[in-house]
Amino acid sequence: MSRADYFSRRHLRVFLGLVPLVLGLLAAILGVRASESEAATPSNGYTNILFDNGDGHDLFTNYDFQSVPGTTDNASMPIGLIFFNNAEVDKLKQIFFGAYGVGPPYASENHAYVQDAPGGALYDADHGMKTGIGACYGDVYHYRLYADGDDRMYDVDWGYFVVGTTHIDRNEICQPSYGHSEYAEGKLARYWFERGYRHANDAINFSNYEPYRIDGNHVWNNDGWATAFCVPAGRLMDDDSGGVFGCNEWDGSIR
Amino acid sequence: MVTAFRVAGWTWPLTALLLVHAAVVPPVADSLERIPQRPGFTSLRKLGLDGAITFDRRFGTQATKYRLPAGARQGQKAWFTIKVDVRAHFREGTRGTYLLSGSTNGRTAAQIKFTVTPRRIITETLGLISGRDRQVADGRVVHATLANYLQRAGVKGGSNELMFALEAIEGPAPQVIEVRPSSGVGVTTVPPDELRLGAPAGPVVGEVGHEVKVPFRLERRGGRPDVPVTVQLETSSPELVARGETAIYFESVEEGRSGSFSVIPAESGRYAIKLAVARQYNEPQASTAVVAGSRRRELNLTAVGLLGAGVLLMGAWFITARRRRSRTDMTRGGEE
Repeated sequence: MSRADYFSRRHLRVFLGLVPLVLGLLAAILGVRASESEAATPSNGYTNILFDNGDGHDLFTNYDFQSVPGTTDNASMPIGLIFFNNAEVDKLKQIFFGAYGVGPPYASENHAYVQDAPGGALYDADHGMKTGIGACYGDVYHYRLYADGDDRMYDVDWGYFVVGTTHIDRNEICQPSYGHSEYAEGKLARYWFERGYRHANDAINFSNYEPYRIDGNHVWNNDGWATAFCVPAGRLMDDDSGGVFGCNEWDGSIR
Repeated sequence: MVTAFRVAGWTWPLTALLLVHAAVVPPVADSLERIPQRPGFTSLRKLGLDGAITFDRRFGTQATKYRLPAGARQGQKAWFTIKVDVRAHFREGTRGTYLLSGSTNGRTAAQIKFTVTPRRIITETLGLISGRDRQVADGRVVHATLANYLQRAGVKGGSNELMFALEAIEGPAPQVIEVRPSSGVGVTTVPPDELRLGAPAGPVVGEVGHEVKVPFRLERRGGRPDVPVTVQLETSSPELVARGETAIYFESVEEGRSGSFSVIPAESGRYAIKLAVARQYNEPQASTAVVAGSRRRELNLTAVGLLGAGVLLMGAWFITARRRRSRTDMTRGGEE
C-alpha cells in the first residue's frame, strides 16, 4: 500500500468515525429529541388488564403506557415480545445493539406494570432503543423492554423472562405517526434470527388484538399474538466450548 | 450373489446369539450419577467433580451429566431444584456486568448478575427458594448463593446435563469465578409456592380523609422452615397515605397470620394497593384497591334533597290549607 493510499484510507476512517459525532451534535443543536405519541385507546377499550401466565404468580399488563398508572386513556403499544429462558434486559439490549443502537434522549420513556414472584411488582420504565435518530421522513424502529427491579423475572415455565413492545416511529420530526407494531415485531424477529438465535412467531396470545386503524398519531396494528424469543445461556461470550446453549432443542411452543 | 448368501447364512446363528444375549443380560450401567426422585441433594462432588468448576480469566461453559429415573417430570412426584454457590474474584480496576448461569438441559434456573465497578461489586440473585437478593460489597471478592426450582423443560427422564455458563454483558474477563462443589441438584416434595398472601378480591370502600383498613391473610404450606417474614404495603399514589406502619413483621407464620394496614385517601378516586412478602421463598404478592368517596358531598346532596322535599311538602300543605280555608270562607259567606 502506498503512503498516499494509507493516508487517504486513514482520512476516510477518521471521516467515517466523525460522521455519527457530527450528526449527534447537529441533532443536539437543532433540539431533535424523542417526540411522544399521543395517548390512545385500544380497540378493546381496556388496557390495564393483566396477563397471567397461569400459575398466578407472574402478571404484567398487556400494553405499555405513557404515564403511571396505566389506564384506558394513556395506552401506548401492545406487548408483543416475550424473551424467555435466560433473558435479562441489559443482555438483550447488548444483543440488539448492532441494529438498535440509539437510546435516550432520542427514545422516549414508557411504562408497564410487571409483577414477579419472586422479585416484586412495579411500573417499570424504559426508554428502549431505536434503529436511528428520528428524521423528517422515514421509519425508525423502536423497542422497549420491561421486567421488575432487577431486570428479569422467573417462572418454572418460562425461566428468566422479559416482556416488551415495539413499533415504528414514522416521519418523526415533520409529520409523526407511531405504531405498526406487527411489522416492527417482524423486523426485530428477523434481526434475532440473523444473529443465529431462535424465535417463534405468534407463539402466545396476549389478548391485545388491534385491527389496523388510525387514532390520532397512533397507527394501531397488532395480531394479538406475541413473538417468543428463546434466549440461550452464554451466547455473549467468546465461546470455544461448543456447549449446548438451551434453545437448540426448543420446539417453538411456549405456554 | 451366492457368496453373499453363504456369508449371510454363516453369520446368522452368531447374530441370533448376540440378540438373545442382549435381551437376557441387562445393559452395563453407565457411569452417570443417578439422582432418585425422592427428597435429597446431589452436590457437584457427588456428580463426579472433585474441585470447583472454575472460569479462570475466560468466558465459556462447563457441564456435567447425571441421570434421572425414566419418566421424571418437574412437579409430578417431586420438584427438582438447583443450588449454586459461587465465589467471584475480579481484578483491580475492573468495570463490567457479568451473568453466571446454571442450566439443566439448556434451560436456565440460576442466573447471578455481577455489576462491577472499580470500588464495589453488586450481586443480584433471583430464585423461588432464595428469593430476590441484592448485595453490595466493597472489594474485589464476593460470595453468592442462589437456590431455585428448575424449569419444567429442564427435567427429563434419562440423561440430563447440568451446565454453567459465564458471559459478559460488558467488561473484560474476571480474574476467577468458582462454582463450588457444594452446588448441585436437589429434589423436594415442597411446591414452589411455599407462602401465599391474600387480600380482598374487590375494592375496599372508604371515605376521603378517613382511615380505611386493608386486611390481608398470609399462609404457608409448611414444606420449608417457618422463618420470620415481613408483609409490606405499597400504594400507587401519594394521595393515599399510609397511617401507621407500612411493614408488619411476624416472627413466624405458623399455619397462617392475619393483619391489616391503615390508609387515608386524601382525594376521592380508586387507588391500587400492593402487598408483598419480600426476600422470603417465593415472595408472594397480592393486589387490591381502595375506592374513596366523599361522604360530605353525599350528605350535602341528601340534605339538599331532603330540604327540597320538605319545601315541596310545605308548599303543598300551604296550598291545600289555603284552598280549604277559602272553601270554608265561601261556605260561611254563603250561609251568611
